[in-house]
Order: sequence, then structure tokens, then C-alpha cells
Amino acid sequence: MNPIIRGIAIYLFLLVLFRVLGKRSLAETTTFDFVLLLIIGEATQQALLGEDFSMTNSLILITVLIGLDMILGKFKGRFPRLDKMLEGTPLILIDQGQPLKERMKRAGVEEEDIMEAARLNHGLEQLNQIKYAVLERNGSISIIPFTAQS
Amino acid sequence: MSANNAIERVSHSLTLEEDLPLHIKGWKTQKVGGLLILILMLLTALGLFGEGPLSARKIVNGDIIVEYERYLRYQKEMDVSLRLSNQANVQVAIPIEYLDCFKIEKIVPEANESIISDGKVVYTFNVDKTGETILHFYLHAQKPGSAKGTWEVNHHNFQINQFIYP
Repeated sequence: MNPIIRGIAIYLFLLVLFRVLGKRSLAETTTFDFVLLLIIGEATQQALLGEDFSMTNSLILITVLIGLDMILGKFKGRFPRLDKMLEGTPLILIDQGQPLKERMKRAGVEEEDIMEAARLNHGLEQLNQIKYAVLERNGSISIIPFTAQS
Repeated sequence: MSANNAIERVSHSLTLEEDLPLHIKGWKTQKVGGLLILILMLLTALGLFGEGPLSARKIVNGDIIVEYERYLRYQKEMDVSLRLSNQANVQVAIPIEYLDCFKIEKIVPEANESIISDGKVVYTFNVDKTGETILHFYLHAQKPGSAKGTWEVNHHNFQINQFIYP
């Protein structure tokens, strides 16, 4: 099969699959998830290259994948709706120290995950010290603590 | 709808574009996507992409049985096996058009003779004693799409329909 078609098919499949799985699935990467990602990479490589291990084939595929990413990036810049659909938007999980339980449940985030981010980034001890916790587009959790003024 | 109403609406002071309806759509899509993944896993286990009850095919015509896989994958090897009872000699004719989609890796046991005749490749096997004979044709899928052909085994026809996934 033509390497360009193979590259496009694999790129789109992975894009849809990881979008469907949700962003937290990547943000919460455990050691096992990392091993799983390596296996996915190995399986993808075989489907991409087929039986053609020539340098030309790999150069074509690298160009196709980077080209697709570039085209998609341009489209995302031009069509904000597409950008939102593919990358998602931030989601507030804690508002004025109050956990928003339904949002957390839907997004698959536990209080423990938020406290972990709060401890790591701000050295906070309690949930009520958090003014806002936001699940960002890249799947990480950002914490805005209460300050003396607030 | 009521489940969506349970999602907290927030009025915040952050410079942040939170598109809650899009999140709700995304969560719904994730649920449907998760379900589709499970269905796909189940169908794969059953043989929708080969190697399972959905894919296994068996054709019986007289004393001859042909077994093969209905669903194949590109560049994957498959086995068409022929079981014959009480046949002195065996002649297998495969249409050249069908063989366009495959590369013959190996035939076990090897044929005594192979000739091309009338748009078919005809393999002849000499059988010493009558009894059960088993022949294996190991084929390598070369072209994605549909592969159809009528195999002729000792003048019995076997219509083989296969689909090769890319």
C-alpha cells in the first residue's frame, strides 16, 4: 500500500482513538501505561513500514506524519471550533475551595489527583486552600491557591 | 438531559474559555467510543478480522472438504486445507485471477506437477494408497480487498470468497 495512505490512516486513527479515550488517560501515565505506549509504538511502526525497511520509505513516512501535523496545526489556527474539538478546552474542577463533584466524575479526576498537583506545585496541605483547580487542555491540573487578598 | 443539569455551572474570575457544552458532548462521545471499542474487541475475538468462528469456512463436496479463512489481513499468511478421502490422485486447479491476490508460500506436500491451463494453475499430486489425504496451501495475502475464485479439486468445484483487510 502507498506509504502516504498508510501514514494518513494511522495518523487519523490514533488522533480519533486518543481523543475518544480522553485527555486524562495520557496525563495519568503510570509505568505500565508507559510500557503500553511503547507496545503501541511498536505495533504502529510495523503497520507503517510494512515489509519495506528502506530509508526512502521511512523518510516518506516521517515527512507525511510531520506534514499532516503541520496541516492540522494550520487548520486548528484557522478554525477555532476544530481546535476546541481536537484539543478540548480547560475545565474547572474546584471553585472557591469547593470540589465540583459531577465535573470531576465525568472527567475521571479524583480529589487525590488534585491534591497531588496542589502538593507538588504549591506545597498545599488542604483542599480548602485551593481557590481554583483547572484540568488543562494537555491533561495536567493547574492549581490557583487562595492568596491573602482573596 | 437531567444528568447534564447535574453538572455544576461556575461563574469564575479566570481568563479562561471553558466550553461546557463541548465538554458534555465530549463525555458522551467518549462513552459511545468506549462502547464501540468493546464491541470491536468482541468482534475481533470472534474473528471479524480473521482467526475465529466468524471467519472459519468449511465447504464439503462429496468426499472432499476445503477449509479456509473468510477474513484475512494484508501480508498475512493463511492456510487453505483440503481433506480428501478415497481419491487415487489429486488435481487442484486454482484460477490465475484468484492467485493475483496471493503469493503461494508453500504447498505441503509438494505437487508432482504444476501446469497452467485454461486460465488456471493446475497442481497434480500422486497418491499411492487410497485413504485420507490432507493438502495445505499456504498463501500470503498481497492485495487488499475482495478475493474470489472457484477452486476445482478432482472436478469438484469450491467457491472461495475472501476479504483481505488492508
